Amino acid sequence: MRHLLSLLFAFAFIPAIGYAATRTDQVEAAAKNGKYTYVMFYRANDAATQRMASTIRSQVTENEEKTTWVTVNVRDRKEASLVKRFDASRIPLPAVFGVAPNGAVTGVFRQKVDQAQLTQAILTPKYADMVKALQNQQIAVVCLMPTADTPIPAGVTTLQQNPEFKGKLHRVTAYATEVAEAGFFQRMQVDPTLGAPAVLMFAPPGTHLGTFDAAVSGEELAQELHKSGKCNCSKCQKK
Amino acid sequence: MKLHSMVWKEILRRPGQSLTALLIVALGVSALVAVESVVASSEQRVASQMQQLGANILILPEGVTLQDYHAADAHGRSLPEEYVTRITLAQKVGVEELAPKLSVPAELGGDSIVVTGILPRSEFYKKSAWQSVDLLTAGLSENGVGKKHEGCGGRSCQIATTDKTDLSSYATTRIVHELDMNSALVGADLAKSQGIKKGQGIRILGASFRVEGILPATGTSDDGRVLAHLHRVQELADTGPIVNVIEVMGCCEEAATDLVGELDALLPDARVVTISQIVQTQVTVNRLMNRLSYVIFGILMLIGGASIASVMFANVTERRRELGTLMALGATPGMISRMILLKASTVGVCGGVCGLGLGLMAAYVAGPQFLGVSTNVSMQAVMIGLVVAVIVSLVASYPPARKAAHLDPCLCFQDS
Repeated sequence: MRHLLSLLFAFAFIPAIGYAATRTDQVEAAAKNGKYTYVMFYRANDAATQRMASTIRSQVTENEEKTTWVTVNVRDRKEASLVKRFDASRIPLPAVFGVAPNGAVTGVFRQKVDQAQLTQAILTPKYADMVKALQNQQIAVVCLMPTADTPIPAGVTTLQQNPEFKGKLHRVTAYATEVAEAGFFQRMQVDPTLGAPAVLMFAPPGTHLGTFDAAVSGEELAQELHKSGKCNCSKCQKK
Repeated sequence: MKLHSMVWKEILRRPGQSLTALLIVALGVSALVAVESVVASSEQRVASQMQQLGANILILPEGVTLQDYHAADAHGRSLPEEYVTRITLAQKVGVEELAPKLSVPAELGGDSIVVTGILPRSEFYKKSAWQSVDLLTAGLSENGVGKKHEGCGGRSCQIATTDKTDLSSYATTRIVHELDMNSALVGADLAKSQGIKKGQGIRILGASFRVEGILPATGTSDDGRVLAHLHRVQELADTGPIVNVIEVMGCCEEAATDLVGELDALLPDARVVTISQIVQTQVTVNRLMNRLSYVIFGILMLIGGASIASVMFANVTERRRELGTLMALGATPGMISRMILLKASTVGVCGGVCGLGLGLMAAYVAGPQFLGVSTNVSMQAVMIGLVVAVIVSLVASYPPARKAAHLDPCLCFQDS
C-alpha cells in the first residue's frame, strides 16, 4: 500500500516538460534547453516531502522559462543512475539539488527549503561555469572586466602560463556590459560600473583566496595560491 | 646458637603455621602489585592515545558505551550513513576530517577476520563541492558556512596533498584520499600471519580485492583487519547504507568541545563523545581499580595481621616450656621478644617477596592477554607492598612477643 501511494505521489509530481523515459533523460533535456533543474529526491510521501514539492512547484511556476523540476524516489530502480550520481540513498531526505545546464550542482537543500534558497541556486552562465570548474577540482580565476575590449590583466595571463599550474586553473571572464552577468558581478561583490578589471581567485570547494586589481602580477597570484596550501603544485607537494 | 638460626629452625619445624600467614600476606601484596602495575600501564597508554588522537570526536549509536577508542566500531550497532552527509552539508566550523567506519565479520584464508569499510576523503569533497555556491557567498561575506576556526589551520585542503595520497598513512592519519572500490589495505599482523604482500589479490566477502598497501603496526585492533571502501563493504555484506561509528577530526581541542553541542543538535539520535570524554572514562575506571586494589590489599593485610598474631600466640603457648628453658639458661626477655619478632618479620618479608613475584607474573600475563596493555612495573606498589607486609607482621607479632618476653620460667616448668 505504501509503495502504491509513493508511486501515485511520484506521478502526481511529474513536471510538464514532456515525456521522457527516465528522470535522467528529463534532466538532460532541460540542460539542452538551457534550463536549471531542481532534482528532488524523496523516500516517502510524508509531510516534509509534500512541503518541499509544493515550494519547488511554486518556484518553477514563477520561473518557468529558466527552470524545471523532477522528483525521484530513491527506491525506484529505473532512476538508479540519478540516485547514484547524487548519492541520494546516503543523504537526509527529502532533498533537492539545483543543477545548472552545464551540470554544476548549484545548491543542495535537505529536508526543508524556501524559495529564496531555490532562487539563490540559479546562477548566471559565467557563474555556473566557475562553479563547475571548482567542482572539477580546479582553481577558478575570475576576471571581471568593464568592457569586452579591455585586455585581460597581465598577471592572470602569466599565472595561466606558469607550468606549475598547468591544467589546474580555469579562467572565467565576464564583462560589465553583459546584462545576463549583472548578477555575477553582484554576487562577487564587484561594482559593475568599475573602470578597471578586478581579479578574484577561488579554490575548491569554494574558498575565496582574494580579490585583486588589474595591476596584480602573476608572481603575486602564484604566491597567494601557494600560501593557501591549495595549489597542489609539484613544488608544494615536495615540501 | 645464633638468633636467626634459631628462628629459621623454628619456622622449618612448624612450616604449616608459617606458610598460612605467609600466603595471606603474599596474596595481599600480589593483588596490589598486579592491579597497580596494570593501572600504571593503562594510564601511560591513555596519555599516549590522547596525544595521538588529538581533538577527535566520536559519533556512536545511542546507548553504546565505549572504553577503547580503537574498538569504537566493534559494538554491533549502527547509524545511518546519511548522518555523515548531514555533517558534511552542515559545514560546521572546526570539522577538519570525517571518518565513518563499518566493520563486518569475514573469512580470509580460513581465518575469521574483520573487514572495515572506510570512506576516502574524495567522497566528502564531492559532497562538499555541492555547496560551492554557499561557500562562495559565505567566503565573500564576514560570517557564514565554511569559515575557518580562529587560530587553526582551517578547513581541510580540497586537493590531495602527497601525504594523504599515500594509503599506508591511514595507520597514523586514519584518512585516505582515494580508495578504489576493489582495493584493500591489510593490517600488519594479518599480513604477517597470512603472508600477504602489497599488490597481491585476496578474496573476502565473495569478492576479489587488490592489496594496495600493508599498514604499519599500530598496536591497535587495526593490525588484524582488512580495510576496504565503505560502499563496497556495505554492498558485499548487504547491510545497506549504515556505519558503526563516525570519527570527526576537529581542528583543535577548543573547536572539538564546541562541536559536541552542535553535532548533538544535528544528530539527536546519536551519541556524541569527545576523545577526552572517553579518556576521562578510562581514567575514572583506572582510579576505581587503583582504589579497589588498596582496599583489597588493606583487607588482606588485616586478615594477614590477624592470622600472624593468632599463629604467633599459638606458637608462644605451644613453646612455653622451650621459651622457659631458654630463659632459665639466661636468655633475656628482650632476646625472646626479638626472636618472635624476627620470625614474624621473616614471614612478612618472604610473604612480600612471594606476593611481588606472583603479582608481577599476573600483571605480565593478564595485562596483554585480557586488557590489551603491556605491563610496566609499578615501583610505588612494590615498595608499599613490601614495607606494609613487614610492618603488619611486626605489629601483629608484637603482643605475642610481649607475652613471650614476660613468661615466668618457673611457671613454664610447672605447666609441663
